[in-house]
Amino acid sequence: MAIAVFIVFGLLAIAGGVGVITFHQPIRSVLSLVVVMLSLSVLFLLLSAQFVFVVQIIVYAGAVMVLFLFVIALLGPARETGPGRLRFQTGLSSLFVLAFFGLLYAMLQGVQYRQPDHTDLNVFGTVQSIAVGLFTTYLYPFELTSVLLLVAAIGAIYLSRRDES
Amino acid sequence: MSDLYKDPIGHWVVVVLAMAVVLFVLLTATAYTVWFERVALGHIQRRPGPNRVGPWGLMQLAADGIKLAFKESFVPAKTDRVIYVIAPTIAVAAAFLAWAVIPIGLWYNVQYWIADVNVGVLLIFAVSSLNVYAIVLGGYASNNKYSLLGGLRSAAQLISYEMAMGLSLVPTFMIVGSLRLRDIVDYTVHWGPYTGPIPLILLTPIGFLIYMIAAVAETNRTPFDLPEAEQELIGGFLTEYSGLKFVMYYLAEYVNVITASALATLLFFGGWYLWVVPPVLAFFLKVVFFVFVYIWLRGTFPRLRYDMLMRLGWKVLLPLAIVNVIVTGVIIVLVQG
Amino acid sequence: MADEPKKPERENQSVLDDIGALAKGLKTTLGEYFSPQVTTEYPEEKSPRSERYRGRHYLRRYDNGLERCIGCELCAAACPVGCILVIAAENSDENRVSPGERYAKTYEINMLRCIFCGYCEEACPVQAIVLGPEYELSDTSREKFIYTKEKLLEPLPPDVQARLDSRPHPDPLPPAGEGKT
Repeated sequence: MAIAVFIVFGLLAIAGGVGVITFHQPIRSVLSLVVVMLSLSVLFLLLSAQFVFVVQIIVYAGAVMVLFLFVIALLGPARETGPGRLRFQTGLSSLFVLAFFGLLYAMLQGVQYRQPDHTDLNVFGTVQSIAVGLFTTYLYPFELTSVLLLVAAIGAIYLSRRDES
Repeated sequence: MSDLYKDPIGHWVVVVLAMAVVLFVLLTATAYTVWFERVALGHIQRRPGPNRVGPWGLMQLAADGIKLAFKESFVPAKTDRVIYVIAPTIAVAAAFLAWAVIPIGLWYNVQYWIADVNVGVLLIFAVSSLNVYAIVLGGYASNNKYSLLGGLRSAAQLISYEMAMGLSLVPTFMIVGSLRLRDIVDYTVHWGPYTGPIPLILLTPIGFLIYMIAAVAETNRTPFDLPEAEQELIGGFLTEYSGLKFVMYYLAEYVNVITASALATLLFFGGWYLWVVPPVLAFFLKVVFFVFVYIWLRGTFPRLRYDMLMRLGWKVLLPLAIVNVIVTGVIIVLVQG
Repeated sequence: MADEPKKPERENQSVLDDIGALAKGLKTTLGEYFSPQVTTEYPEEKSPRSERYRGRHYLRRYDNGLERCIGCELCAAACPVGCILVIAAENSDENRVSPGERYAKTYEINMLRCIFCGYCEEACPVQAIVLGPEYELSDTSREKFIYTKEKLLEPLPPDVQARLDSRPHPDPLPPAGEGKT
């Protein structure tokens, strides 16, 4: 059962990813990205990570992608203009893709799917267990991240402010 | 029953049956919510509302449905056909999905739900956040400036009020210590001689207030119905929709209203507990009450201007919700500590 | 002394006042909810027509059964949309239809054209044509809207008849049979 779900949503995620780079209309690309996000959330659920599953939907599908959509809707249904490719782009990109796959293959050697050694699946991935992790073991990185986001927010406001002069 | 539930195939049979029942009940409830709204609005304006089709006009929705079903399925020119057709289905799917995790108390200690998820409330938020897509995509795909503006307004509105709505519920979760809706309803206190479930509104009244206001905005209802502000935007994202596609949006809106009312009941008003009233009836009455509150608000307040809406969301509700979380946290620490 | 410009009320208004205003609004609508309705359930109950309401036309008769219309065509002349057709014929002693010299052999009103202005009623020297209170005139074919003389000669509703009978001024022509023309 789980493997069937994994295959279906894994393929959906890949199809979405391909869609992002092949569609010519920006809105289709965005929707493909939404499909990727939703498929990934299901994969998280398969890993018993309920909280991450929900947050993936709320944050990425529900908020981030909507902002993408917002921008594209404002710009109108413009098509991608011209090919505008670099001269060596095709060759270079295939080279990089090959290198990346080689790297992936080398790193994934010997990795196998298995159950975690000692985990109570009733607790793992719940809000409570994640909260305990965030606010005890990983408190310092968590707070640092939030400060980083705050800096980014303030920076964005500063950059977008109108020149008063 | 529990044996059947543990059996893998029996489990699926039960779940599918449960889904069918929920779908049927919800569709019926939606039809009568629309009827109830029209009658109640009528009474507020001192007129009877629909009373011609069937006894007390109860068959009005059937008549409307038949009329809409037989309309031409029209797609405006130069639109993105695929997205135009998909958008309303997203609305309906998102609206119904939320009911997967909403428990309904049938009798004392007998509850009914499709999925008893640890992150229940969050899942409802996740699903309802997908509702934005229906509106934005519908507005975008209609190839109409009013639709587009309505869709964009709605996107901004829903994202803004989702924050306040989520934060308004955090105190509840802090008090109960669970996101599971069943745990929240069953939350019991020992208050002097009384031991038993209490409506959580007594503990987080501010949270309830913020939730109600944000929920009105989330469901795009008056006074926050800017996405379809008739006077300025014709019909907003609905402008180009007709026939069954329009029905889908309409259905989704009313299912969302019922969902929001059911959530208010479960989170703040003790769900199916009400003195000696049988649980199902108690739940039903409470939901109907909140639906009425929605209609009452609609019949009373004029629509907010866009900047007022944003100001209310970001400068009033959000800070209030954050302060509420902090104050509740301090009180919990003091009481426990 | 010039009027002081009124201070905007917002100046000394607190959040509590705002909430109070909202609550007042809610109270008002709830009060309306339980107030009696003012709707007239139209097809079953009808709102009263005024005495001067201009609905469908009637041609009147004298008490002795003679038609009032003398075929003078003043109504047709007065009609701003030309929806009245009158073809007059001579009265004779064998065939006396109206007390005057002539009577209307044909009298038709095209109700699709009529604008219910009532000028025909004003123009009529013998008060033969009157506009009654009926306003539900819809029908299923255009031909049925040409009201012929038979249809127009239908008796008036009794209350309208009684009202017309009690008009203070006398009829200009005496009913035939008493004096002789």
